Amino acid sequence: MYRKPIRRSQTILDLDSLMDILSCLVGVMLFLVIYTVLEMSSTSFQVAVSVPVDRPVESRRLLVLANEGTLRILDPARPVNDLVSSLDIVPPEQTADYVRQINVSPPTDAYFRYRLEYDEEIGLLRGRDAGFAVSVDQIPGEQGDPLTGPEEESEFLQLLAQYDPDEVWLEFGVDGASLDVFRQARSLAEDRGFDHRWAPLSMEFPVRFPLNETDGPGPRDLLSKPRR
Amino acid sequence: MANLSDPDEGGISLFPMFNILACTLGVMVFILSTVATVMLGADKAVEIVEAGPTGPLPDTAAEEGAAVAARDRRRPLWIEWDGEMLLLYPTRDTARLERDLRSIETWDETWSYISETLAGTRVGNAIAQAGLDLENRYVVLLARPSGFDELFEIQSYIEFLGMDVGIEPIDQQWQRIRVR
Repeated sequence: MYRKPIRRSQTILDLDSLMDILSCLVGVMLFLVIYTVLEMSSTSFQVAVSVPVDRPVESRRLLVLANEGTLRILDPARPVNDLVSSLDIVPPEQTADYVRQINVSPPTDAYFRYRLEYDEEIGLLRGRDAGFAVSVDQIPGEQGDPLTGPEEESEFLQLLAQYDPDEVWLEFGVDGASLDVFRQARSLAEDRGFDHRWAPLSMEFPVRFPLNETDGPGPRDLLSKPRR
Repeated sequence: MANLSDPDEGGISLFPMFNILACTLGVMVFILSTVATVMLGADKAVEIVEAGPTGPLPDTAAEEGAAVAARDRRRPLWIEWDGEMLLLYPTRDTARLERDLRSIETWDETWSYISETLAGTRVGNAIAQAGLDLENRYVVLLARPSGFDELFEIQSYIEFLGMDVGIEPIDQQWQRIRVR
């Protein structure tokens, strides 16, 4: 029987269409991959907007300095107490001598040194207590906590653990180089129940504040304008 | 005599080689795209989500419930401050403040200057409209470090208008910011 010869050229499949489909699929997949990676590289965080309110009078401000990528708690309460503990038994005429003596070895905490200052003229004019001020300076070489290690070893958290969230609220003084460590510290403080607020850090050391301001200096102390 | 040669196999087929090359090229393009995209990721898109204002709640449970409900329905007006201009989100309208706000001596003069500069701008209109609806609006100020020095002036201006304001610091290098 006669069989029609099969021409070899007819057996080769034309794969051009398949190639087009595959190319399109690869292009779409590449686009999807790029979009996914871009989305994954995006950071999303929730801003807990805290509208400033008057804090309860029984709650004390605790200043946390977030500057140069580290955290330092500035709490002048205990050192100031050390400075003034013996003032009541010092006769007024010996006040200047007492201040000189106590400043020979001034009280310190983890990061700061506190000195007592006395302005005799103001003391004479407005009474002795009005003449006192506290000067806070940094201890050279004492770096703050960058919060890079485990939480158990964090100096900031160890210091924070000494305070009761019902008795103090935190005011973060933040500079532009410390936003990451500030956000981290704020989150940790929130987890521990601390109320908080933040302000741009503007203070330069040494900082001087009147003795009767028990909360010590705040980040905005140098920003106030005269009011009419 | 037997002949083992096949007339169809007269030349070398380069199709497998072409496939290998195409695959290698594809993989390289993929790797390059991924690396380039990850590098672009250094300029991260940041999505900032409003969580509502916080603050002390009233003593009684009923008042507390009402206060929480009132806070929940308040909508933020998103404004960025970088030390030179106010940028409104999500429309990205801007209003530039040329003067150094710290050099203005009194608060009254500071507020007057800001008010006059914003008058007629879309940013100013948005703030004014929000100021007319104090119960349902408040301002979220996104502050870049370059604007830290004059942030207190901007904040006090918004508070002067009677609006609550929450402030969030944002990194200087963040460029792609979305608010929700």
